[in-house]
Amino acid sequence: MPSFDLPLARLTPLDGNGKNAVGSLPVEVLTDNVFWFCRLRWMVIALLCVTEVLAASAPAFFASHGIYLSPRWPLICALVLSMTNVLFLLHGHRIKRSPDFKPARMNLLLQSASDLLVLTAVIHFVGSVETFAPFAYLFHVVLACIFFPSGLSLAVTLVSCLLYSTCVTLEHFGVIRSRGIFAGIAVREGFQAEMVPLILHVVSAMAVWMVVWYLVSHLSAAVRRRDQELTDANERLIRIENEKAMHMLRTTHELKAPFAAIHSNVQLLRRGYCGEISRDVAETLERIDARCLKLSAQITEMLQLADLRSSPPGKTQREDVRLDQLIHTVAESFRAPASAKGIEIQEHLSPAMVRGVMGHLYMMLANLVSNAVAYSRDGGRIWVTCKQDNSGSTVVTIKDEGIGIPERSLPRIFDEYYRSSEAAEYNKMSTGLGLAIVKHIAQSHKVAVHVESEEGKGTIFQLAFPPPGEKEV
Amino acid sequence: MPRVLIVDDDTDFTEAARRVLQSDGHDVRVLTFVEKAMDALQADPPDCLVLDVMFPEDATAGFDLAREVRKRDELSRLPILILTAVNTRFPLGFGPKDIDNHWLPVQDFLEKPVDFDVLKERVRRLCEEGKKAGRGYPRESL
Repeated sequence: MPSFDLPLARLTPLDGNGKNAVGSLPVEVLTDNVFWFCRLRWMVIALLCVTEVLAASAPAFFASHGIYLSPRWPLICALVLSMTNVLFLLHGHRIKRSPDFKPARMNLLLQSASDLLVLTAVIHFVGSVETFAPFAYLFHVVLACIFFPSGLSLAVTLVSCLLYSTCVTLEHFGVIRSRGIFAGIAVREGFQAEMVPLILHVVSAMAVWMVVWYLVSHLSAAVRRRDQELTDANERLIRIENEKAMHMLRTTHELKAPFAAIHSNVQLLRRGYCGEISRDVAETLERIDARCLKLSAQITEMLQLADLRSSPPGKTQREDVRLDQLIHTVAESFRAPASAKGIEIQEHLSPAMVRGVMGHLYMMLANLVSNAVAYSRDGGRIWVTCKQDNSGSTVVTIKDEGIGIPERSLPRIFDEYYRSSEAAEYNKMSTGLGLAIVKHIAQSHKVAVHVESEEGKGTIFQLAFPPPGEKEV
Repeated sequence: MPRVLIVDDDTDFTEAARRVLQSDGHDVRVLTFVEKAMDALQADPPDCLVLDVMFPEDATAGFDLAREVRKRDELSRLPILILTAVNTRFPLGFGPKDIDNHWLPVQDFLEKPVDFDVLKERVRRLCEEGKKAGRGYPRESL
C-alpha cells in the first residue's frame, strides 16, 4: 500500500549542492584564485628577469659591494615559471565553468608544487642558510592555508620542509655546489665547520613554518566555517522567501477562487442565461455581485500588504527599472476601465531609470492610477508625468480632476482601512488599503510622496525617487 | 463553430463559462484534470485553449501545460488564454509584463473574477486570429 511519512522539520537542512567540498572554498572562489595566483606569478617572473639583467650587466658593481650575482639561473627559473604559468592559465580557462571544485583545486595544488620546486632552486642560488630567502616558503604555506583544507595545507608545509632540508643537506655534503649571493662574507663556511648550528638553523626555520601553518590554518578554518554558515543562512532565507511567495500565491488563489465562482454564477442569473428574473431579484443579485467583487479585491490587497510587511527592507531583490516604461504599462492596463467612464489618460514620460523591486513599484503606481480613475468624474482627464529634476531624482506625478480629498482627511489617507466618507460614498469598491500599500512601498524605496488636493477639483500625487546611486535601504 | 477547450478545476466556474461561451456560438469542452489535457489536445485540437494556472496537485501546472503545448509541432500555433484568480497587480503574479513570449508563451491573460462579456470578446478574438494565422501564431513569434 503506498505510504508517506511527513519529514521532520530540520533547522539546518542544507546538504549543499555537491559541488563544494566540506572545508574548501566555493568552486567560484577557487577558480578565481587560479587566475589570481597566475597573475601573481608574472610579477615573480618579472623580478627574476630584472635579476638576470642586473647579474649579466653589472657583476663587477655588485661584487664590489660583497654581492655575487651569478647569471643564467634567474633566466632559467623565469622560463620554467613562464611555461608552467601558461599551462596553468590554459587549464584554468578550460575549467572556468566547471561546477566541480576538484579541477580548480588540482590546478592550485600543482601551481603550489611547481612553485615550491622553483623556489627551492632560487633559494639554493641566493643562499639557503645565509639569507632570509627560505622564508619565502611561508608565502606558500599561508596561501595553502587559504586555498586548501588543513590536511592539504599541512602537506604543502611538509613538502616545503622536505625540499628545504634536502637542499641544505645536499649543499652541506657537496652534492650540489653552494655559493649564494653572500659568498664573499663566508657565512657558509661557518655553517660548514659546525654541523649542530646548521641543523638548529634549519630546524628552527621549519618550526616557524609549522607554527605559521598551525595558526593560519586554524584561523582560515574558522573564517571558512563562518563563511559557510553565512552562505547556508542566506540559502535558507532565499528558500523561505520562495516558500512564502508560493504560499501567498496559493492563499490568494484559494481565497479568491470561490468569489470568482460566485461572481460567474451571479452573472449567469443577472444576464438572463437562466431565464428572466424580476427587478427585485436583479437588484439583490447586483448587491451580492458588488460585495463579492469588493471582497475579492480586499483579499488581494490584504495579502499584498501582509507580504510587504513580512519582507524586510533590503531583503528583496532590487533591479534597475525603466520607470517611464513601467508607468506606460500601468497606464495602458487602466485605459480600458478609464475609457468606460469616458476618462482620458495622458502620458508625458521622459526616460528615467530607478532602482527597486519591479513588482512593488508596479503595485504602487497601479494603486495611484487606479485611484485616479476610480475618483475621477465621467469624462475627466488624468495626467501621468515622469521627469528628472535638477538634483537628479525622478519625479512622477499623477494628477486627476476627480472629487478631491477633504483637507481634514489628507493626514489620514495612508492609514489602513481609512476612507473619507466622501470617498466611501463615491467609490463603493474602495477597500481602504491601496494607499497603505503605496506608503509601505514608498518608504521601502525611499520615495518621497507629496499629495495636493482640493475638494471638487482634483488630486495630485507626486512621487520623488532618490537619485540613482544613492545608498539603498 | 469555433471550438474552445477550458482546462480548470473549478467546476462552479467552468459550468458558468461553458454556458456563456456556448450561447456565444462556441463548441465548448471542459476538462477539470490538467493531467488529461495534453492527450485531449492532441486527440482533438480546439481553436482556443482557456487555461487555469493553479491546480490542486501543482501550483504552476497551467504554465507547464502552456509550455508543453508550444513544444508540440501540431499544437504550436494553438491560441492560449490564461485565466487565473491570481491578481495581475500582485508582485508575484503574472502581470502584463509577464505576457512575454520568452517567459510564458500565451496570447492573452485574464484575471478572475472575470466579466463574461470580456471573456466572450477575448475568446472570440483569439479563435478568429487563430483561424487567420492557421490555428494560432507562427511559432517563431513565440
